[in-house]
Amino acid sequence: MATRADFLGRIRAEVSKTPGRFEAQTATRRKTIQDSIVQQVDDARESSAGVNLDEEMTNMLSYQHAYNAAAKFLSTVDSTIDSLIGMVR
Amino acid sequence: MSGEAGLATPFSERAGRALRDTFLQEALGIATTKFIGLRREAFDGFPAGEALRDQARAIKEATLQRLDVHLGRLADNIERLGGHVHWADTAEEAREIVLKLCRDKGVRMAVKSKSMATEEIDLNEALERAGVTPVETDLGEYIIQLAHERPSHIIAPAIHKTKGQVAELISAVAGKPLPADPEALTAAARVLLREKFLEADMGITGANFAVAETGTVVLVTNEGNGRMVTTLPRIHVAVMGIEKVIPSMTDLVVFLALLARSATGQKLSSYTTLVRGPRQAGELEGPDEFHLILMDGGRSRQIAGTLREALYCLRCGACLNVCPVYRQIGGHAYGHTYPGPIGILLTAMLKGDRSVKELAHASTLCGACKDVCPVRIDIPRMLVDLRESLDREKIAPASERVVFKIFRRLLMSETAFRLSAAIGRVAQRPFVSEGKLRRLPLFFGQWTATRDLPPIAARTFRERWKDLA
Repeated sequence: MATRADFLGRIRAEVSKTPGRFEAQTATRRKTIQDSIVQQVDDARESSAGVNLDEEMTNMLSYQHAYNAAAKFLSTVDSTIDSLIGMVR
Repeated sequence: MSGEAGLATPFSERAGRALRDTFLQEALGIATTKFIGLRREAFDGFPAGEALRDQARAIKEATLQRLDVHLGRLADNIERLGGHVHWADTAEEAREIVLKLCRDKGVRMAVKSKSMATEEIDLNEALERAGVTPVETDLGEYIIQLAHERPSHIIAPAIHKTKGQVAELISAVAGKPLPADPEALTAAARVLLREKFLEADMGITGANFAVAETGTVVLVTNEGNGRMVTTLPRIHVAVMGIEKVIPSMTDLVVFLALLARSATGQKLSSYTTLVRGPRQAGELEGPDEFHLILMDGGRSRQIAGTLREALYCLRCGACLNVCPVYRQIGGHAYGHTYPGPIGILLTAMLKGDRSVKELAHASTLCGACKDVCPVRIDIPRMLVDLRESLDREKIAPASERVVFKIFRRLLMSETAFRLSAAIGRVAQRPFVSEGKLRRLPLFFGQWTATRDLPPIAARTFRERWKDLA
């Protein structure tokens, strides 16, 4: 049966034969990928919980239009009543 | 039947037999299509999946670069917990270690949970010869054992069996006729196996992962038999390839998220069993003795070799399900322990290039396997490399080498290429019908016997380009 020392020694020898780029490459690659996973999760959280400025601006504009329309309606009603009262007099 | 028994006949004959087997064709078609759909659904609903696949691959790459360190740490942790670690350079050594344990401890019966590593070393045959009764407890493996066959799929060993065939096998053991109803058959097998669990002296498993940081062996199953095999008998032996070690529990999370999704489309398998050494003081369950066998068997040679990426494999079987070749011929026609696209590479790793001189061509190089691989193993690239080295080492048949040598010459010279295309255009005329080459003479006829070939175009792209530009 193989001994632990021989067994691991042979593996170490094989590892040392691999191109040197692997060690550095894997470390940086893992970081890049980890960052992208974090980004993805952040995006997912933001999309359900966060404030989206574009969406809020659109909402605000539509509220503003609604308010303007309501105000215009009231002032029209007001002037109509005024004219009515003027006619009665 | 041993896995090697089929090797007396050439691959083309084994494949031909599979293609004519209507039962096999039906079973394969249904099962692989179902697996493909389940996997796709699982990943469609899992947006983080793609990035996790990159992460899993990067972990495997990094782990291989420090494989000796991780294996050392795994062994230290297991020994600290009171377990024993054995080092096996070859399949024979791994087998011998198990047999010696059986002899020393007076083992008469061993229950097994599904393990490809023990298939790889032909453990069941060796145990039987030594007077130890092995009993497979995974339902699929149990069926296969009753039929005296070998698994034809990495995760669904009995994928090639129909309900009717299974009913016959289990009825014979149960001693009464059972209906071809999966539920009834499972219930019957459950009763039969329950006694074996209690009778057995030894439980033998593989390992899906082994966590170096904690000394934990991880088993991913759907039937819970893995848990019984690791807790009921007094001795637990786990056999694993050295590439199954992973550094930490954090890494395990990444792999667990991908493995079941790729294999069966589940988020997690029904049972994920984590085993740490023998039963500790104060624990209610677990074996008296725990042995881990770390097996090389040709793996370490590939750490710096051309098949390095095959060491990333999680054995999920996703590449088998999508492979147009596997879907037609099933696992047995490959003739070795590991079937399918990854199986060709693993066979070359474990038994040498020479053993796959036919199988290296049992792929269309369509790339479907690479697309579904949870760790993005570039299987087609490695198959091409394998074909090249078979040619270089003159292992491939002479006729094949001559054809490729001529083909290479033609492609390397522009004049020769144009000339041969011009000749081909004229020569093909008698054989074109309805815009297809349907029947070719001589040995070219082998191609057109089962499929059409598009004819060489009347005008080359370069000629057409002159008009277009």
